[in-house]
Amino acid sequence: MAKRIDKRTPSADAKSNSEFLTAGQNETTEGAASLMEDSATTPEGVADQFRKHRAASVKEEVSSDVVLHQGIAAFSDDPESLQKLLNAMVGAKVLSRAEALAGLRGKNSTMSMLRKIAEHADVILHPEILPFLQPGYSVLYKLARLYEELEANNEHS
Amino acid sequence: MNTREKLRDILASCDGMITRAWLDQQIDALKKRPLPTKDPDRVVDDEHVATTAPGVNGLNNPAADESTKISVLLLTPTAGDLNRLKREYVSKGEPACLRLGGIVADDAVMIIAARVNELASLATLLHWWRFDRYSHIYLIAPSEGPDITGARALAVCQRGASRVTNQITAWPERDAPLFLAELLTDGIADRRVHIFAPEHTAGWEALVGDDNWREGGPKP
Repeated sequence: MAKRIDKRTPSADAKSNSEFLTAGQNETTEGAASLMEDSATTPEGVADQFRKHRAASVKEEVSSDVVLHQGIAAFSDDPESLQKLLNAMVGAKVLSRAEALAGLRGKNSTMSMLRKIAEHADVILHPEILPFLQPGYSVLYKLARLYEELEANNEHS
Repeated sequence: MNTREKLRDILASCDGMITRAWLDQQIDALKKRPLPTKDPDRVVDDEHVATTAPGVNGLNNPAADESTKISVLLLTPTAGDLNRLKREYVSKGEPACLRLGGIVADDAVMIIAARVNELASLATLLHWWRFDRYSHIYLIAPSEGPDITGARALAVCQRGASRVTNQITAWPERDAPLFLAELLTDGIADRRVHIFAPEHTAGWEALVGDDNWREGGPKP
């Protein structure tokens, strides 16, 4: 029978690991442990919870892209608001200052990448696709590119 | 199987984490998809013939009708077709796709859907369909950068008085070659033939799959 996890008692490994952690890191580790759901006491339960959190992170990332591009579309006739939005993305470490200054006129590779993810949100978030994915703009962008390549291949075959 | 299901199967085949590098490998593999292994002397792919739908009246050979000239010719070659086109063919021994050139009208329009680099190599073959150059080349989607080598495009060849009824002046809503060909030649009611067609479509006579590569039959 598979070993069950007793969430109330730190394992021996956790104790030995804690020797290498600062006080702050230790608190973080304890905080993370509290994220475990009651169902996560079996290997299957832990795996399910892992998949759930990972899928949620991909969903959130794609949602952020969709919201950003909806905002850009909404402010397309308002240059001042659009620039404010792009500047905020500089603060969020999404765009460089040069990319923000160039606005939508420049060849903005980051914005192109995010736009492609937003355009393919339905594919990325499809229940048959999402469980395979990990978060990360570049991974999701490449996934969208792969989908486009498959579509092009379909038309030519 | 639709595109999303194909994507699902590709992702499921990954052994380990799906990374950017692994996805790049899959994209490259699709771009350089190898031809199926077969005897180089064989003209027909059995698996293609088995899945090819019969044409109108059971005929898959538009060249069988020599009396009606072709006014619109659409080419949508696959990578496999492009490789086969690179071979040298002699007049009267050419496959069906090339043999159609003899029944193309003097004021015909030919439209080719291919990648920009493929159009460059196809330019040396236009004479088979009795055209000598491209009159227009359209990108059918915005390029991701200055390098358009692999970008999908639509080339138009015209002979005689122009019969192209429309131009593509903005990024099209749909990028399907058949849709764009019909847009460009809207109003030309005469004979239309689709070479290297993936399937039979209403309003077009089509050469599908290996019917393009059958030798023999009526000469133009």
